[in-house]
Amino acid sequence: MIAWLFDLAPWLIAGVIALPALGAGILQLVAYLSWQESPPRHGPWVITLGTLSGTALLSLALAVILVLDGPAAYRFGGTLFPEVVFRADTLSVTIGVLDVSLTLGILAYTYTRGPFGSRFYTAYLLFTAAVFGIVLSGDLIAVFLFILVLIGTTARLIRLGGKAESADAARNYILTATSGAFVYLCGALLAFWLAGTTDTEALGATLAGVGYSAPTVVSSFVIMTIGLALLVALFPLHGWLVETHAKSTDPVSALISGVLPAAATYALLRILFDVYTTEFLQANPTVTNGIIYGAVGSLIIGNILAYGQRDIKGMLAYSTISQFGLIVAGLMVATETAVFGSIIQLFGHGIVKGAFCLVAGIIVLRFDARTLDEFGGVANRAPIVAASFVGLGIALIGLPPTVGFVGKWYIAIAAMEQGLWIVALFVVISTMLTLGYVVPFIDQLYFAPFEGPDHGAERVTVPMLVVITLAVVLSLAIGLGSVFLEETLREAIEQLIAAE
Amino acid sequence: MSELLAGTPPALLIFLAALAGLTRNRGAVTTAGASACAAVAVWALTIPTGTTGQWTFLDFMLIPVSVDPASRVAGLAFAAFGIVALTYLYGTGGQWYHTTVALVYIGAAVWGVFAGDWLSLLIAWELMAIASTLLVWFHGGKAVRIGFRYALVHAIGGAFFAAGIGLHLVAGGLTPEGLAFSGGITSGIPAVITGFGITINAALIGFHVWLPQTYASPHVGVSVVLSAYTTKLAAYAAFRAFPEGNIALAYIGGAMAIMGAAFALAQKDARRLLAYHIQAQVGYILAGIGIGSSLGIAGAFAHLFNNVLFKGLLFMVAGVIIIRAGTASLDKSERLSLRTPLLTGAFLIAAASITAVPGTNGFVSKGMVLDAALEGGYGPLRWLLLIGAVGTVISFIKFGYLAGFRGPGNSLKDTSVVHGLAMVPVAAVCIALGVFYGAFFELLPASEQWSTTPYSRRHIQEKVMLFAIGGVLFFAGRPLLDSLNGGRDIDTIRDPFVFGATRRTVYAIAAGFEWIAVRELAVRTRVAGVVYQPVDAVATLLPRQVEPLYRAYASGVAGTTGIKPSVSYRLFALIACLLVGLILGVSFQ
Repeated sequence: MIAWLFDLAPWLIAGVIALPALGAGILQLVAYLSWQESPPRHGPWVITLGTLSGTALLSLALAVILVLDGPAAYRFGGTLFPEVVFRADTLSVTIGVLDVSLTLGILAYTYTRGPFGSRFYTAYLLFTAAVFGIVLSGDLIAVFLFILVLIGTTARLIRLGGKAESADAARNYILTATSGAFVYLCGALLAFWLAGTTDTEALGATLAGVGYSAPTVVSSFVIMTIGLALLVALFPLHGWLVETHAKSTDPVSALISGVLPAAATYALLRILFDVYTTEFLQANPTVTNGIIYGAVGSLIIGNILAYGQRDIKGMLAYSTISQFGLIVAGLMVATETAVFGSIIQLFGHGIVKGAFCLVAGIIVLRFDARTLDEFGGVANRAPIVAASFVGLGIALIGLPPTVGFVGKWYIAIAAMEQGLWIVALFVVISTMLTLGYVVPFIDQLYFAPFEGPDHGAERVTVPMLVVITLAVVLSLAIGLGSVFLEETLREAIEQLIAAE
Repeated sequence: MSELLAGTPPALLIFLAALAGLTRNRGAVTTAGASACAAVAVWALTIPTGTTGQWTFLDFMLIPVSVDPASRVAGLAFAAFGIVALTYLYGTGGQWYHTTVALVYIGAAVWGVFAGDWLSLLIAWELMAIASTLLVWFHGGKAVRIGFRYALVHAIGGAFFAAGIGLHLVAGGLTPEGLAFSGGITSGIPAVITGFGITINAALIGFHVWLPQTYASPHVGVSVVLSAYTTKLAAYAAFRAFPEGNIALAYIGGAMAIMGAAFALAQKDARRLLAYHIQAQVGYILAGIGIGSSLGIAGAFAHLFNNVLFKGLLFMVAGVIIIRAGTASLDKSERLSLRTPLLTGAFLIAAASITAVPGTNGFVSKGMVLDAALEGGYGPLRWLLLIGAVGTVISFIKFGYLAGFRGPGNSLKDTSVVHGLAMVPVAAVCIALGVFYGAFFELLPASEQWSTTPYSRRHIQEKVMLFAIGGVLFFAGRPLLDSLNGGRDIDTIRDPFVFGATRRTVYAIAAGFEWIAVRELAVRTRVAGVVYQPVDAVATLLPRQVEPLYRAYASGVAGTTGIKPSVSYRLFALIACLLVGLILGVSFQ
């Protein structure tokens, strides 16, 4: 009876990419036609909210259909230009939901505090569309194009954030990120030259024929991985993340930390398992182990550098670097348990880190507090904000039963099963380090005397508090309900690992 | 949907009732809490036996609701007593925060008793420890210090409990079902450690001083609440850990029965006396569980149920005396007499129950445990329990004597209506279960496997003997008992020793950490110096001639670390990574 609903899946795939892009177009059009003289303060915001809510509904509908009916694909073009395939399964929609929920949540923050203006929100909507594009594309070149859109819109978001040094930061970011993207393109073109196609499924089959230990195949993998590693911000390719994080406004930081590396990681996951498969990883132990140890190095070094930060945003940026080290290491372990751990960590980290950036922003709004020393005594004046800080901190550290613990648990267990005890060991060490740099902030919040200015509680709106509280609840709920999530994702992960 | 509902722990209802505390109105939260407890009591009576709901966290299966006769009897006692305890707490002037935290405490106990796995039980266990510590702390003054000790003891007990469960899980091979109760704790080290952790909460000899100290110090209503749950959940957990019985546990129980009764003899403070009796009665329960026969376990749970009732009633009587007379010392307070019929009646019934006078519930359940010892061939244990029973008889003759015949006068006021509402039903149930025990037996574990005749000639003769010996001993030993005022418990020796040892350990640890900290600081200073002043660090490494040139160059570069955000560095890193990756990847396959 509802079978016809399942047939909607391809259209929903197209819809989640097209709707935010369409919204961006409408926003530009309206701004051009009628807002030139006196732009209304909240006009762009309302259009964005409408578009993103629609996108959220579409992606949720897509998620439901995918859970019930299995993966779906949408084919685009074919006559005027080469056909592009978009594929969706429960994994990709997980990242899509993360993307749209973060962009929606951040809107609650920008309503009163900005940034305002149609140009900002156009970039904001295109950002959302580009992430969906990266996540759903089943084609290496299409992924590259969407990455370029993502880089461009991110740079625009950074620039429009309105901070003094943001223009420099945006330019540096563009230069760094596009070079990463072009490295990725080189790898993709090499693969295209080998196989004559860029569709991931067809490519996978052909590369298997070429032979997994052929130098050209290995090179294409290494080049693509390193290009994407820069976009994930793994050490030592992490410089851009720290700079953009520090130089952009808090809502944009939330997007950069929460979504940007997640999208790149997802692209890596797809290439790893769809194109090259686990057999490739087994055939090239040097590459596999090299990436694992590189990622674990990123995990540790990110944490050590975070340890030295007194500025909350610096701390958050380095912690992102370390978290993605863990996630990529989990992907490379490449068992079902490990990949599930990585996915849940990817999702959970996005929520937690995004909300953390907003909490940092709220504290700045009201108390002008950025560094550890300025955080003193805030808890007495802003109990909800401080409690959310603690809740998110616990999730970031990864204590049970939060989502942070669950992700680490699965990755560590899988690593031990594969004999990679060093990964498990470093997971534990990094947890201790995270504890070491989060607890001083909490300690200051609650146990130090208040010294800074207080601009009054009215600067912090109710929606802001709702969003950060919701994030804390989510981090707990996902942790407790991780098993339901595993059941939903199991099929997709099994297919991913077992592919050819 | 109904399946989901069936898998919802009933404790949730009590926790929800605790939310009524947000109104800060003690009437509202008492009403909500008592209704929730009543609902849970009905639920406990009617829910069919079996396991419902399953919930996986990580790789472990948790069972939120698991009902068997053991959990049903204990849970029914917990929930039903919750109603009267909350009423009494209200009647004695408990504030909204007392009641709210008491609800969390009761809810945790109900949660633990109906959970089907060790992790849930452990969480409930710790939640109870936290809530009960708060309840003690609310009283302020001396109770704060005692609350700290209480928290410390329970933290240690909880840690052993957790460690034991962990070892049990590892010994069982980390299967998803590893946390379920089935078959008890793996014997050997896991069993010893878990048993130790559990029995600390059951007031194990040597680790029991928290019990008289804590239960004698808080608000009188709080004492009533506390008296029913912590030790009884521990006894329940002992059953889960050793469902087949354990001879060591049985004799520990026997020794506790004597120890508790003996120390109770020396007390003049009403609540301290009763608290020592908790140890004695839990001793009976542990003995029954330790015997492990179906009659022993049934007797243990019957006694658990009855003990909640009569011990709670005794604490209520003591509380009213303390409130009315203004002192906890029985020989200095106003006297119980016929002018206070309700209070005196409640005391007599409760004392009759605890001393096992025929016609009361205590008589029935104590007889079951003693019979189990006899049938199981635990001769020495039976004697221990009988000696404990004599001690109980003497100490309650003493309680009655001090409360009724010593003290300034008999101007004590009787119970108020609210007190009566709490006390009369409990007293009635104490008698009812002593006379109409048939239906109650149906509820007990393995009711088809055992049978007992409570009012046999032997039981009655035994009782008459016990009372005769007890009476004689009391009147013979009265001068001695009068001279005792609390006695010296193990804490007078243990605490200075533990304190001294702890102090030395702490000093040693502190010195060790200081040694490490000094060295760590030195390393950190050096590293920080390199990070924050890299130019200096590099300069000292350079030859003397190059150094000024380098410093001159470095001063021209902005940034504290000498490295500013630079795209060229990043591109360099990218190219370096590519080279390393390609060389490694292609050449070492």
